[in-house]
Amino acid sequence: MTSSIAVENVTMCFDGFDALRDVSLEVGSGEYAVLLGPSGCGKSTLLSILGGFLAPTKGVVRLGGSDVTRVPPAKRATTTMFQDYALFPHMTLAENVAFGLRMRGISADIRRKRAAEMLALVGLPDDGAKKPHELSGGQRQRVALARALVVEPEALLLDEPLGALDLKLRRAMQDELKQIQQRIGTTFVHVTHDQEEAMAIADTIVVMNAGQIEDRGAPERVYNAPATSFSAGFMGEINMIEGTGDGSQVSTGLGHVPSTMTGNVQVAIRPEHMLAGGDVSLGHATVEEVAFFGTFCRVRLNTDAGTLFAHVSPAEAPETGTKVPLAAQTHQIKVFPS
Amino acid sequence: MRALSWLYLAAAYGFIFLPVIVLVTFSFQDGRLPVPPFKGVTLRWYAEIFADDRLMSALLNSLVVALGSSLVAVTLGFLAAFALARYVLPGSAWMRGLIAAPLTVSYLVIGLGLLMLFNQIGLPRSLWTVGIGHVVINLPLCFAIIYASMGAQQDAAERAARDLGASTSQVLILVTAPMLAPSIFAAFFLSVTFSWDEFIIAFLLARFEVTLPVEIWNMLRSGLNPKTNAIGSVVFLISIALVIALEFTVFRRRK
Amino acid sequence: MHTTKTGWGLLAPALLWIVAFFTVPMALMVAVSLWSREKGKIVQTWDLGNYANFLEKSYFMQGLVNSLEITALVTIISVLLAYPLAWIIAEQVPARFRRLALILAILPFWTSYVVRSYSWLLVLGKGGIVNQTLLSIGLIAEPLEIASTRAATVIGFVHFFTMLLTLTIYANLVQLPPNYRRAAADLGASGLQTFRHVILPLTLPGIMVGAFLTFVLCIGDYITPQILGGNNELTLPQIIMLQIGRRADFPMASAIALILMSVVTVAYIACARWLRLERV
Repeated sequence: MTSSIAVENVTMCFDGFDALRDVSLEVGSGEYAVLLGPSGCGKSTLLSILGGFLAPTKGVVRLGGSDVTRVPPAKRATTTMFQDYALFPHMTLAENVAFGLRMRGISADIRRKRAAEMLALVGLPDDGAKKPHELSGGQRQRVALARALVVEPEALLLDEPLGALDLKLRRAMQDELKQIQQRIGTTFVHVTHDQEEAMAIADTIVVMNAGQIEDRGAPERVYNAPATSFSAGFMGEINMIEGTGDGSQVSTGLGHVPSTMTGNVQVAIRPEHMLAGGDVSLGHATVEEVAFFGTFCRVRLNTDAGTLFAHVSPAEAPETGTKVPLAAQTHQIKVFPS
Repeated sequence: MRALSWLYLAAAYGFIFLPVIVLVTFSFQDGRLPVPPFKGVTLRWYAEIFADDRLMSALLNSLVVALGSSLVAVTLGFLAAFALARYVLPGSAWMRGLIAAPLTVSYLVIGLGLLMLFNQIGLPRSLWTVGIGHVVINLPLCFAIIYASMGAQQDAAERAARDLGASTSQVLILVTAPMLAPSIFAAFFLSVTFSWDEFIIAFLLARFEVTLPVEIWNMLRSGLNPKTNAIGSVVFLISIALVIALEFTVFRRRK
Repeated sequence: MHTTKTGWGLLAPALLWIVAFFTVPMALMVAVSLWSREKGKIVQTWDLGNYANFLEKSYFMQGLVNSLEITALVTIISVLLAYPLAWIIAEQVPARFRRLALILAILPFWTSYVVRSYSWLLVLGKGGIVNQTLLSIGLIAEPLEIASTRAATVIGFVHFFTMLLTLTIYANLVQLPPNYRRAAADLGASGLQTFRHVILPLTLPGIMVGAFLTFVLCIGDYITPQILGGNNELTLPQIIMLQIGRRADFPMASAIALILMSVVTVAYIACARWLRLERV
């Protein structure tokens, strides 16, 4: 049984420092939500509040609609997967996984069976008798997942679960987490600072900064149509150009861009949209340097609005020193107030 | 905090502080015996201990032995730690074990062994022999503390110094020792603490000039006396004052 | 410059000191333990007479039994008293008072060891505060003989070692990653269950080390039994000192000292084996 999990107007104050400021968020039942943001943005604090390890200074936490703000972790129907996994070093894997069931008074036989099933689900069917120190980081992480899921929580909270793994392992685990979540159907709330990870896994990305939510939506939407300039910059590399708007268009160093915003603004264009052509012409630029990144080339451009970057496929990479035309489509250009 | 915890805490602290409170309170006893009833406050016992030449010289002896033996222990321990950490010497595991060995033996046994050795070679008992014994018990400790803190950072700095032409003694004095200052100081402080309060070796290996614990022991032979309370309180208060001073200077600075 | 010779040169002073003032005395002790004291002189008989003497005379064996019984009692009681205290300070005292609470718990460490035992003599003696209090509230009619008994020795020891063990157990508790506790709670464990299934097993090795330290220091201590124990039963250290002082029987004293060391060694091996088995 899974449910939605939500916070309403939550503020968290530590000794004069506001970690969260009037934050409201609802994650739907069965959804995979990722809380994304830089260090100190409050994402881990929010997760702790969802899990019951912190009581918010103000505000309400709801699980499936019921108020659980004052319910301690032991009695709250959420489980958390910790960043350092926190596997009990003196217990075997099977005992670790069965721990939550044991605390619920479930008999030894049933515990053993369910723990074995769970270990098989996460890909460690024959390792029940081993101890955590005998496993690699990736394996320990699976055990932590099994332990958290075996008690059938209404929501699973993951605190930077893939941070300690190397790139290849991380990618593999991202796929596995997604598959397991889809199979089991539990609501997952996952904290990370890696926007690629967020885009790979999430049904919904929640972008956070300085204790507040900047943006929230499906990965494609957040990436292509970010709500704030912070969100735009955090989701991936982006070119920011200064400009002034008069209500019908914005004037920048690269020319005019259609927009109804007035005053000082920032015009944001993704690097992959700079040289791909479009209905809005942005003048010309000189190619300063082309760096090879495997799947694309990063082109450093000297423009009338300063140094900007473009991503092109290696086959279309221009020569250094050539002059190239810049253009983008109207919907690819975002304008934010300064 | 739960009520039961408060209760336990109070009871525990009560048990822990009972002898100290009795000690200090009855050091002011205006009466012959340091036991209840408390007859009134007087400073005469404190005046007596400060006028007691034997006691004061014992106090000085303790200080000298503690500081002297600790200096030797820290120096030998530092050099040995450096040697075993930075040089590849055959049988270094055995050496480490040998230097640590005294830690596994009771002070009484160490003292007895030294007593028999000095008898055999005809070395008369004195504060010097006490000092020798104290170096034996403190050297393993100093070695262990300093050895444990010799890390990659010092190694890199030492290599840089050698690269710039420093000799071994220059490296030791100008680079290693300053970098390890906290550990060296901690080892020294610990040695002084152990030596200052040490009884059985001081008892076995001293003769006429004794250290303070031995002198207090001698005082006990004449029965319960508020004078003993007074010297005990003085030692206690000096130690506390030292620790507080250290806490606010050395340990606070690190924060 | 970086030659092995320099290395040996730096190591030599410490090594020589240990060899000269520890290894040689120990070897001498082994030799002397095989000699005898006859007619006021020490004769190099090279036999196990002293050891046989130890095993035969009930005086000596009783001393060994006394030492073991007292030490075992002290170790168990001290651990049982210290663990809750360490726990309360580590877990329940508000964070900003924790350091103060710990320092208070070990403050009497800074009284001289001799003075500390003497203070217990004051407290437990016939005219001391315990007896006076019990008399005044009418629980007893005559002062109890507490000082100069095994009870007094045990109390004196327990006082010291409770402080020591509180410190070591506290250090052990605070270095447990806090996420262990959070994970246990998260999975539904109550405070008691978390303690029983997670904290206690993980702190057990640390307790063992503290208990071993207590054992070694307690069984080798001369001061506390001598001040508080009275003359009715003696511990091994007291017997050793009697051999040295009164009779200058160094051979016998050496033999007993070596037996004491053997007991400590046996305890060490048992402890090390247990710790290796419990390795997480």
